[in-house]
Amino acid sequence: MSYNINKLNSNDPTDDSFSALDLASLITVSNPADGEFLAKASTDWDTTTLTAQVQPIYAIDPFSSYNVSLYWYEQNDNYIVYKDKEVVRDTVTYLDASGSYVPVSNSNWFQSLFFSGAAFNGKTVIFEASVAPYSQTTMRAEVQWVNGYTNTYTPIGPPSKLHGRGHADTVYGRFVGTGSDVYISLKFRYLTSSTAWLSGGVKHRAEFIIIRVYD
Amino acid sequence: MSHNKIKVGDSAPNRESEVTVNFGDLSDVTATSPADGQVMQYVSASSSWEAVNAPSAERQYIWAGGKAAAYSDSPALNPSAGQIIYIWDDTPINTIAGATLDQTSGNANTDENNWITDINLPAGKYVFRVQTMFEFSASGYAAYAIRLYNGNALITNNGVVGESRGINYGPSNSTSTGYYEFGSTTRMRLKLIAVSNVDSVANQGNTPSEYGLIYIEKLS
Repeated sequence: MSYNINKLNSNDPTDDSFSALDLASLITVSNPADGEFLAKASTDWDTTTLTAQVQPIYAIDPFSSYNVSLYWYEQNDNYIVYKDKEVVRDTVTYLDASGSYVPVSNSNWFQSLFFSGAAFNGKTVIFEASVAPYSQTTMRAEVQWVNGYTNTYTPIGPPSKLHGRGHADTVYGRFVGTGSDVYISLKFRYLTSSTAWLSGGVKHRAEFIIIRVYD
Repeated sequence: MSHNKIKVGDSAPNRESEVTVNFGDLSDVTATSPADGQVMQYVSASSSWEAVNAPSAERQYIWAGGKAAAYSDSPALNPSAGQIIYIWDDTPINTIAGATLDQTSGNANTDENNWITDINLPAGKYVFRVQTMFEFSASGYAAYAIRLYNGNALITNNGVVGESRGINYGPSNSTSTGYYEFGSTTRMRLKLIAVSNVDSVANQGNTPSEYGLIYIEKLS
């Protein structure tokens, strides 16, 4: 009997009984490229690349419309959103449309999104929204993401202007959680009176909101 | 001769002929002292797998602007096509490794510092979103976009503001957006593409900076 018959996996030993063993002797490693990582595949291990991903924690469906009567916004009102339009909602909750800063009180709509201090402490949250209020006449409006939902608030991004009739624009905001609970709203920081309306119909297909967290 | 001479990888048997092979004993693996959470990455230069820190899942980005500062303190010339648009930010967010924002500095009048002049991005894939606003002397428009410093090529679409955009610049959105892939570090600037009745720099107040935003995401 010779030690040379001791194979390790499919590897024969050398004359001095040394059995070389590499990763490919144990698992399938098909032509790895520089920088690739090792990952479990369905039935074996294989190589893969890794891509950083940021999942949305909140998004509304821009393709739905709904029926609602006309209600006009006023300066300092919050842009309200129909709850049933949401397609993603993780870890954020609502503040219903109610009180002095909404065009109409209705629990089917929300005026602000709530971020708990504990869940978002130290996390960066980026807001992106396309707003499209209905206007029956020439309108001048400025909409801005803010921390707060009353007339006392802190801007968290640049305002966007809406001119004339039938215009939409995109509004961006960013905040970093400090451990305190916050309400984030889309605020009409400026509005010519009785010109921007909450309305029904397909106009709202111009709207979207996407909120992402950068850990 | 003893079977105890048999070695597997770098591991020799003990007196009971037991061979304990560790992951790091494999001939193409370098993982002498891997730390908790490290992953194995292939390095073609050494044809080996090495233990490295897991890549961050954090998306890298630049966020600058949205702050009020008098545009007359910027280096801006009176607005016309081709002029640079300056966004002010004393604490811009830049988490993109290797990216830099060139800003004015060293001026005795500190209000003239911190105006972003150039954006320098390392190789990679990026999504751009840029906004601003201007004051107008009469009904008009301003169109803007990011252009490469070398060659002046456009890398975002036109963002447009103003109440009278005409058939050339309306319908339009204030957000200039784009996607671009760079093979090496590349310098770029936010520039005016076309203007109509944009007021003088002296009459802009805080508007271009307060409404200004540079938001760039690095995808990979």
